[in-house]
Amino acid sequence: MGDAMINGARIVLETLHRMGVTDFFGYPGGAVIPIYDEIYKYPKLNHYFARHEQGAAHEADGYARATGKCGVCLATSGPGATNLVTGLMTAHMDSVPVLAITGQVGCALLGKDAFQESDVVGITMPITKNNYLVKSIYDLPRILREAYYIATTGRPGPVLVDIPKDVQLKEITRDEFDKLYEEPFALEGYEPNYKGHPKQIKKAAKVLKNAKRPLIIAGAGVLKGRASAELFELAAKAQIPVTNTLLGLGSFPGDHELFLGMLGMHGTAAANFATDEADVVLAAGIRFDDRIAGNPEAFCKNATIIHIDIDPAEIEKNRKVDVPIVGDVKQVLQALNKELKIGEDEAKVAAHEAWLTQIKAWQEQYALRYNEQPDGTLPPQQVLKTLNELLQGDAVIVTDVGQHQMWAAQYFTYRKPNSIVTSGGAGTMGFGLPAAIGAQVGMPKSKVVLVVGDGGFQMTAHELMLINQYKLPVKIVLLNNSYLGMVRQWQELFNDKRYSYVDLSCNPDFQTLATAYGVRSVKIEGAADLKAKLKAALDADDGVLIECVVAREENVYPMIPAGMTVADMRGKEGVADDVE
Amino acid sequence: MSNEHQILVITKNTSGIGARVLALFNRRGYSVKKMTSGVTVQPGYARMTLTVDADSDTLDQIQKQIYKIIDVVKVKVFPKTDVVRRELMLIKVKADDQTRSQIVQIANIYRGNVLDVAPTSLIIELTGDEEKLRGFIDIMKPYGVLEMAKTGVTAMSRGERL
Repeated sequence: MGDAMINGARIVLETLHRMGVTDFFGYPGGAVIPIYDEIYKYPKLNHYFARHEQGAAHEADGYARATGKCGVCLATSGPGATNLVTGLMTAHMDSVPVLAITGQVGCALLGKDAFQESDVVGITMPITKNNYLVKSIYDLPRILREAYYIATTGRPGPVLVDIPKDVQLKEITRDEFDKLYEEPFALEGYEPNYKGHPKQIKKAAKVLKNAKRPLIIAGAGVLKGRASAELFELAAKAQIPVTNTLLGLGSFPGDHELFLGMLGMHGTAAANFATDEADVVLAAGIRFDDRIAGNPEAFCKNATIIHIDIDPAEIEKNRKVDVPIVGDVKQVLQALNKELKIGEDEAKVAAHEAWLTQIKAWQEQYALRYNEQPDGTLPPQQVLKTLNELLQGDAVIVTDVGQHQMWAAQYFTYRKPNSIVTSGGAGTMGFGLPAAIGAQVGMPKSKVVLVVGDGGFQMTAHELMLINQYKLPVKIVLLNNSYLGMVRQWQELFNDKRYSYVDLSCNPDFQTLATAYGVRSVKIEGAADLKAKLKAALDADDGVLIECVVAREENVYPMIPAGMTVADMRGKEGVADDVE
Repeated sequence: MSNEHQILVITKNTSGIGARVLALFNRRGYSVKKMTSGVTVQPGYARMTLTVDADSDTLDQIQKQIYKIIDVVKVKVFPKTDVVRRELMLIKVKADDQTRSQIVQIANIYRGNVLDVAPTSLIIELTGDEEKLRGFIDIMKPYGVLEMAKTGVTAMSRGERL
């Protein structure tokens, strides 16, 4: 290939580079050798070598969540591509912009059950925002740009581009490529509605003005729409209390007096009581997921609901609402603030002292606490509380899925947008470690702290190798209770303690495991030296596995059992109710 | 009242678009009873008419969910009135010297076309709305219906607009 020519493989990298991509995660294989062969020519495109394609997908996802940019991952055909599936589904459930590029067998072999052939476009259809099979090199530049555009605009999401090997190897002239790259593309059926309808915004303003007990539920849409400043303006000036969904944490300062913590199944009592008694709820960028709403009919049952979402399909998908506003949360909130005269004359909107007093009372009465263990073992909540004291909200917290995830949501103070990276909708165990790696790659200057359980950690533990290889200073806080804690909790509460296959007493020695990967580790077994050991590990410049052996059978409270209502909430203060 | 509705979906004619639309119905638990698909007057576009069983809330969701498919350009639920709905049916009926002329006569009343005459059977082509087709099938039953193929409903709004 002379300088005048460019092949498909190089077009992939050149296009990524031109679109501003600087990092990507991947795993080589037969059908992507041409792309890997071109990597030498792109020193500014940092490729991170995952140890499993699922890792690459979660790494791209964690990168995207922490930075707000598009995450990129690369895998070969067949098993390489199918290993991305869980990662793409995870990103899709939480609307995370990820661009996945997969190799495919040559066009001539398509449909022949060729070696490592798999219908990846078919497989990933329901778990991507869009996907493509590129059959001609002349379509490649346009498709890559379209894919990136679709992934990052409107309601973001993963997009997959499947590229047969012969398309990667085919050459066109540089002039042809430049022309193809510059050509505008038209997506006729895709026009994300950015501006909210003025009439609806007026209506919402009127409802808010007359509210006696207003509440804002802020979700991931506020973060994705970069609308935290507008949200803050509205809430702080109009004195409206704010609660967050799990994925919305960080959209409002967690240490603000108007902040109620997370709501939902394991949300704070104050947040859940507030949803129950509010007369107006402004639901910004949330989708009334069942872990939030429980029984959707009874959720916010006394409230006039204003729902802002960029995706029209989210309006009344799960819950009937009174004032739907389809649009970009930032623009809608700006318009709403203007309509409410926020910053000029908000006194009227802010007049609801009785409500604030009530909320304060709930917060005081049901402040979260945890029990000391009779045998002196470490309560997991104490680890997170101590970590929070040390970090002071100045970190990117990454979690896996399970009990530790809920405690991380409850016990950390999230002060800034994108300061928590967690798999919400999908609840993907094994997400944590690779996502933390991705987050650290994207935020090299930030302190990235992973909180992970012993179950989920083992699902993607192989990615530890990257901590060593790329000298990533990720702090891995492994809460080891030798149980699949959340499943055990459900079995305890709803299956008469039949702990079927959740006992992980037969665990590897995590210290040895870390050593095997060349990652430094410490083990903390009691409260005595907890703070000092945590501090030493957090202050270190290298990645550290901090294994905390914690109480085995702690439960996450408060808890509203699935499909139920605020009235069914148990353990309002974070500990089990006394049994009569 | 029947909950059956026709939804018009106009898409870019990209590969696998039919699969995308149908997979979405499947995944979201909407039942598609009938589907017709073909080209439109504009090259590069496909037009599908889906017949679904849904209440108004579900219908609303279906429309929005389909529109999320990137290559879908237009989605519309046909109203009950001011719409022309047609379905094409091929029906193979047992026929011998005794019954053949009767059957052909009935087919003529229904404006059907006889497409094939064999010693013991006939193929009749019939176009119409659902009721008409059902009526014809009922009348043919005593003669013995051997085979039947229906295309599903295709529809178009009356007047100039889509």
